[in-house]
Amino acid sequence: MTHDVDQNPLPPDTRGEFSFPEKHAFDAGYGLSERTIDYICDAKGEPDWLRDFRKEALRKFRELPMPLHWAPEEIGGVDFEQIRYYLAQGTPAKKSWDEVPDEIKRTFERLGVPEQERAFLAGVDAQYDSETAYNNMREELSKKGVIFVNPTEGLTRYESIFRPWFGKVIPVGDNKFSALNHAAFSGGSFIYVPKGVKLAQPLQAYFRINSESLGQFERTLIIADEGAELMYMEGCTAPKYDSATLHSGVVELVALKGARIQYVTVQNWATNVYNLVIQRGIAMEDAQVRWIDCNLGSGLTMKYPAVVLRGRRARGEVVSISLARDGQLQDTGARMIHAAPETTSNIVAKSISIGRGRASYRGEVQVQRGATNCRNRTECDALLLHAESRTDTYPAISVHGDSSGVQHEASVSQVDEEMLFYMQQRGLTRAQAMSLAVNGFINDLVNEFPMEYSVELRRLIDLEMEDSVG
Amino acid sequence: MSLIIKNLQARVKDGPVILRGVDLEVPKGEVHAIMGPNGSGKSTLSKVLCGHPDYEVTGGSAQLDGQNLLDMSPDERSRAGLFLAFQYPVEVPGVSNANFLRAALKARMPEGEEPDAVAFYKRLRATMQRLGMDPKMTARAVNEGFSGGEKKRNDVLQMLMLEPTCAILDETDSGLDVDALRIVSEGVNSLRVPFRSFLVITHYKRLLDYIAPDVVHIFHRGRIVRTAGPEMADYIEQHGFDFLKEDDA
Amino acid sequence: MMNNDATPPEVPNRLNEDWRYGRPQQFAADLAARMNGRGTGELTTDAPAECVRRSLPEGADACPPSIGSDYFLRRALQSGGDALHIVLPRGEWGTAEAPLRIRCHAGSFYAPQLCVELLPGSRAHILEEHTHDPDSALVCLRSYTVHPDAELRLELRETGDDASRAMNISRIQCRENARARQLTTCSGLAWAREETTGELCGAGAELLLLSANRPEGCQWLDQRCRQLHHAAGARSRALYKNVLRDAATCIFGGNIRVEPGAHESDAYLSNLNLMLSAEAAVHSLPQLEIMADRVRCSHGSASAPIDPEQLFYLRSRGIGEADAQAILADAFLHEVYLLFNQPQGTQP
Repeated sequence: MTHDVDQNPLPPDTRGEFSFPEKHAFDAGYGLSERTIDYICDAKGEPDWLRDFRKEALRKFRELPMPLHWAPEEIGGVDFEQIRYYLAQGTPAKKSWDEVPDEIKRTFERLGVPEQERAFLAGVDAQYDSETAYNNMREELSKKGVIFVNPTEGLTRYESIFRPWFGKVIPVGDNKFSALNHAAFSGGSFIYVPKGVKLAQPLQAYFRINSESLGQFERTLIIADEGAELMYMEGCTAPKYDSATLHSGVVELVALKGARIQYVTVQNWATNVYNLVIQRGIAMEDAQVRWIDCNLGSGLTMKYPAVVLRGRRARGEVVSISLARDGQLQDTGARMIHAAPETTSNIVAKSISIGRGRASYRGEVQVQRGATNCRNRTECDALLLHAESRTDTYPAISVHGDSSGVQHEASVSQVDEEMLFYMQQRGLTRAQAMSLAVNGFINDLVNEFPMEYSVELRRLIDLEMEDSVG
Repeated sequence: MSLIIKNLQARVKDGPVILRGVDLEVPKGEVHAIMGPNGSGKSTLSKVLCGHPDYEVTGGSAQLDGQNLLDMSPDERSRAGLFLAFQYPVEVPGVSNANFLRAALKARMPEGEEPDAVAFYKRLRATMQRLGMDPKMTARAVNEGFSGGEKKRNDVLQMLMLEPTCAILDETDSGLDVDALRIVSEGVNSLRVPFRSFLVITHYKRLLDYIAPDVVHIFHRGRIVRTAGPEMADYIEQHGFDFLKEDDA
Repeated sequence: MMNNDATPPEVPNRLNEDWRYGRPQQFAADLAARMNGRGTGELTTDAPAECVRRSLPEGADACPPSIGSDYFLRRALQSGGDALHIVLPRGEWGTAEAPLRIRCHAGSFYAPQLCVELLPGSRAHILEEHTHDPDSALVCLRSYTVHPDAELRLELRETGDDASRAMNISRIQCRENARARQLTTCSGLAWAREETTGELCGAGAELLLLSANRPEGCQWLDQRCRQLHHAAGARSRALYKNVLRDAATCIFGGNIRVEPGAHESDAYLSNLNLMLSAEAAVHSLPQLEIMADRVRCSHGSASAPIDPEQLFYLRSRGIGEADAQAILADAFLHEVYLLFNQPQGTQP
């Protein structure tokens, strides 16, 4: 549609509707038990403390209830016994695409990952089922002391850096799914950016599920030391299988004094993936954490990126786009916990419900006792495309004290018929006009994404509109 | 013959009848003006011709170059060569002027083809300059936050870019100051060529001083009640529409 | 939603979303204990005798739905408290200056039931005054039905001492072209929970829910309201404003729900809090659930201190800080009274 699209260098198969036959050296089978955990630990060669840690998490997971008192009832459909918890090729991650097994390489080539790496990335981690298949970072970054590894390597080779923060931003017992991830995690990235190091180009992770019934439990921990800056992007796809798949990642961000972290997600799972992800960042004095989140795929997404503003003048931001079509429930939002004075936060969320799709905003803003002179502004806008479409807004705002200002606004609208007529009068079909109107609705947010992603996003939205309106 | 309307009748969907049998022929190369008191239905005529979903055609026909307009969707009518400069141009948030025009031009090309980007921008900038528009307007969202005059100018810009065979100007003069009116009229006049026709709907004679009509029609109570030469506009300027009361009696 | 008939009634706990941020352990459990005793109190009205009955009508209209307090609703119904059924036929009932009065006075514990019907074409101004013995508890079930083309202007004043507790479970139902507005104010109670379910059941119905409060000391004010759009083409507004002093806590839970088919609904919900103390706290939960097309729905929530520029402006004119604060607090709540008092049919 736009000039930029013509020059899009990516040939990606963004819906990811293809798969290769499974060839796994390691398969932990269905269901999660102590034996599954032993299997995973043995396969990964993990130290005993991690084995005990996982087993303790499993106990918590069994104790904790499903959050049925507030979560959408669809979450009851997750069957933990029908999920495979660990599938891996049994080969270590490669640093060159040439060494990556052929089928996995072809998968990521079809998804456009190697081209993106060449074009604009500082490093890539490509996860295939439970383990990283490819991990590489530009050499000059390793020389500066940047660490970009998988969790097992992070917790063994760089234990002193990562272990103090591991499970601290999102504790094991935070909720049932954090306990699940602590018990079964595999894959993901652990990143450390040393003091004052600013990454000019983003690091990227790509998550791919290639096997039926696989649960993907990746684990990400990013530590930006004082004054450090980085942008991290994640993309994900899976082909559609007959049985449901679970993706339940945990992402912890630590922005130390004056650091800045931007975390970008473009989620386009198949519609029988349960996407239940916990993302939380902690921002110390003068630090900034920014979540840029776009949810297009999955049948049920529950995801509320959070920032705990722990240091004076810390800043948190969430920019969120979600698109819900027939059979999709996008339950997304944001949380801002103001735990220190003079902290500020901003939430902008836009959702589009198409057909019988349902998009919900769920959010929490807290200004805690003693956190003086804080500011939050939240804006939620929902667009309903059809009579059967549904949208909900469920914010919870708590303010203590007389020095902070918190403001929340939400609105629901339809595509204006006069606007469609105006565009049709200029010769656009109704579907084209609708597509332009929807793109216009989220335009300001799409611009927040890195260029390469925003072009891709617009293209995806155009495709969705052609399918559902045309 | 360009635009041929016969006994056109229409009403607001589930509402009152507005057009009560309109007969009108606008040959190619001619400019016809429609004047009439407020509420006479002249703006409705423009919307019905373009297929606005609020109205329902209950009888009659409308053809453009032999094509039956009433069978077409609004966008098909546009691509058939019909253009409406809106009385109240609509705001389209988040969609830039340039992207919008590109999309409209692309819709006129065969499937899979696109306007050449360089040529497009060159032509767009030149056209905007002619209309006295700030080049920055290309990046701004269509009509969003524009003043009344800027919106009207933007509509004329679209007309110049899309080059329709028949253009309807619905109260294009309202909200324009004298300078803007002159610039807009020059734009319109530049499109006066033998293969194009215009229908200018206006309440006042002011616009007709700039865009001289060949024929003036008087619209009243949902139909055309008088047809005369350009001198009719002068008569109305002096005497108003009082003479129509005789028709009512 | 949570308590259907299959589950035994329970005192709300922290997993009950409709009691989020409320203090079920502290207040609800205590209230439940009092409900074991026999209720004492008075429910009276100055409405003409021919309009008043001492028993409730059959059918669902008499009993309001609760917002997560089914337990109390059932206990109140079982306690056999006094009942008042007022039916107002076509005509004018009371004026803005001299409204028709309903008085409810609570002894140590009282659970009365009030049902008011405005028949088609009826126009009523009603003032409902709830008063309390020291250290009393009131659970009042209120149901107002506004039939087609009727108009209700209703004020509820809840007044008690700093040990009393009150719970109002209310419904206002608007039929076709009916108009209703309610203003609630609550002063001096230790704990008050106000539940109002507004139901828009016909085209052209209009409902305005207003509340203005100045909680202070250690008061807990727990307000929940719903705007349920069952029918197409209706309009509702809710504006809840609070000025908080000392260690007061306010909870506001609002919900606009537009049911499938209730197209062209127009609904707005707003909760605004002025914070005058470092110890004060607010919890605001404004919700939207939209399942219909061509709707205009929005909500807003804001909590903020007094604008320092405004305060400075007043003080620069020689007004002391405390007075300036009071003036600005009054001004903040003024909008609510203005909306309540403006002529019917000119709702925003």
